[in-house]
Amino acid sequence: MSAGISKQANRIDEKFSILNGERKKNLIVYITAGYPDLAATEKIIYALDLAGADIIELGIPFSDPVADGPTIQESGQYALKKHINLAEILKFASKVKPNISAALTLMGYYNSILQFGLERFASSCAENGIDGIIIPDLIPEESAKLLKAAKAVGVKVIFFLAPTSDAARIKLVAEKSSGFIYCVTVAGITGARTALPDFRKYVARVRKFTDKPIALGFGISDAKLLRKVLKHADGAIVGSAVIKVITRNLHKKDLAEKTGSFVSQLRKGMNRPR
Amino acid sequence: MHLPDKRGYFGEFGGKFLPETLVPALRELEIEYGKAKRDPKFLKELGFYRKNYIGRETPLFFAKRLTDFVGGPKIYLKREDLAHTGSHKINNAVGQALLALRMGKKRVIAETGAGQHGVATATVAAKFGLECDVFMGEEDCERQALNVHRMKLLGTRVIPVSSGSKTLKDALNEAFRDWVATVGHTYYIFGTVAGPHPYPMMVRDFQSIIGNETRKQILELEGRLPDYLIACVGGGSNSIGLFHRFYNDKKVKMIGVEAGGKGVGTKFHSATLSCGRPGVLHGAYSYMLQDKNGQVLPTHSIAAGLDYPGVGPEHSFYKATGRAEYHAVTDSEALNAYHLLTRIEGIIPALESSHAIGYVLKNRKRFRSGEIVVLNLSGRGDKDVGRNI
Repeated sequence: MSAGISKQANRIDEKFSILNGERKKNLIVYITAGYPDLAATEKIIYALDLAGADIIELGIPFSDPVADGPTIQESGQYALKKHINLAEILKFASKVKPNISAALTLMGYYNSILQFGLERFASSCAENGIDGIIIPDLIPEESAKLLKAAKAVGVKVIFFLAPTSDAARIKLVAEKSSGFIYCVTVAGITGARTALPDFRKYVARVRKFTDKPIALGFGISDAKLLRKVLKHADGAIVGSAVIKVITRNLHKKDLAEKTGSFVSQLRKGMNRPR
Repeated sequence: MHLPDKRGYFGEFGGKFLPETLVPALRELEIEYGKAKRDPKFLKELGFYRKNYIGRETPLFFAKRLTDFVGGPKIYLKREDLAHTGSHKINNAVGQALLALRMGKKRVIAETGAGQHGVATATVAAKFGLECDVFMGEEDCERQALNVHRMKLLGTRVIPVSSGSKTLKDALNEAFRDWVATVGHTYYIFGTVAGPHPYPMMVRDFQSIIGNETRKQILELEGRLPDYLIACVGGGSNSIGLFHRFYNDKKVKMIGVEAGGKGVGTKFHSATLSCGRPGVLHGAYSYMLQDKNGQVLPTHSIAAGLDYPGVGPEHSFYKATGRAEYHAVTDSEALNAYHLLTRIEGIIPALESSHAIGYVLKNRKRFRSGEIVVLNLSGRGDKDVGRNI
């Protein structure tokens, strides 16, 4: 699928590849880059990779993250106080990527990327081992320039769907999204929840329009919810629940191990070997 | 001028940059507003409330002593401070509340800085029997305590926002976060000409009554159009409200006055158009105050209603095309104007509006005798009494 300078297959495609007629299920883990600092983020990434995270979503901290709840907001503000920036995160990605088997994506708000330069960003992603990008405040209608630049270098652009999306939206997002489609479980912001609304019909509705992989995210906080989600979706994204573990162990020596073991517990609930 | 275009763009500025969850709601709003503004029944209702509830039209008042003091141009004040609730914000709140009713929404939310939009929203919520929550930065709750009290009195829940800089931008963030989760039954009464399409267009349309009346009034009073329109700019709703109708009157110069805080050479100001560059904040591509990495910068102004790092896309368009010019006036210059107008005209202006007056005082030499200046007195200053002196 990917064209341009990157000749090898995109790792997100590999993760969602079809084996014996069935699409592989993926655990996608979000962490905030630079929380509490990049050295810690590096160790956490290796621990997540070891624990079986299939895709690691690295958050670019932003001053005004409107799609995020307090957990992720606070982790981002913490990292920003230490002056983390996108250029550093990209450099960091190129350092960790060769050491992991997980796919690596960036998640960030549009202005960070716009100010970096859309074309420069896409090519930097490709050069530094980023497989895909997720921008919660960018809808397909506003993304033509970025899509073109990303496509040229084989980087996936993952778009969102919501329970409020109608058929026309689903069609458009399914057409424009690559890698997978990020379906938010609830109309709302990120944050660990103890229960989720019934999403079976919603996932089925999206499936009617696409055979692209569907990952559900927002509110998935434990192995039980994860199992439920993966019965219907191809991937599950866990973010705030992981950040909470990081926050609880922020200044401890075994921060990475603790984060890894939380994810490893989640992974066990998936009933699927890596 | 037929802007914005269908995608919500004023030239290169505007658009829709927000989570997918809200896209259907904005589309619904766009369609419903499109119908409403062509519906004689809606327009009649809006006209009724403008006249009998807001108290329009507001006077265009010749400020004789201010004119004498400045010693050059004839200065008229557009008295939006006399509108119900004490500022122009009610023009928009009434319009959007009628729209919310039309759309069958039971709950409204709003963000507020100075509290004027919050009070206007709380007022229409009381009037039309809507549940209402207003988000307000903690710092603003403190410095505009009178308005917090008014909102509570009107039956609105005021939710103090403690994230970020605890001011207007953070109140906006929280309002968006609420709306994403409650969009099924909640209408977001956005307070300024910023945000994602269709808000910049819709709020402008509801505020354009200011310029429509002004144009008619000045023609009656002077038999000609003014030379200058001057208004303060935070998000930009009172200024666009005044400017828009005059867009094609190319001889009428427009001046937007931003909050210069402690000086545009310092880090403590909110002069977005004077000192910022384009980017995406709160749903639109427009000028904003940001660092080199695109992080939104903290702002400062003595006027809570101007203390905002963004600005409406139509202003960015006016700036880029040279249709309007934008300048900054400092806290102390605005304060001087606040005192002066109070003492010589018996009108206590809002600190926000005082910036527009401050510009004229500071740039007296720019204006010639015989010229006509219309200043938008966007709000009254009762809310500011006792805290700034």
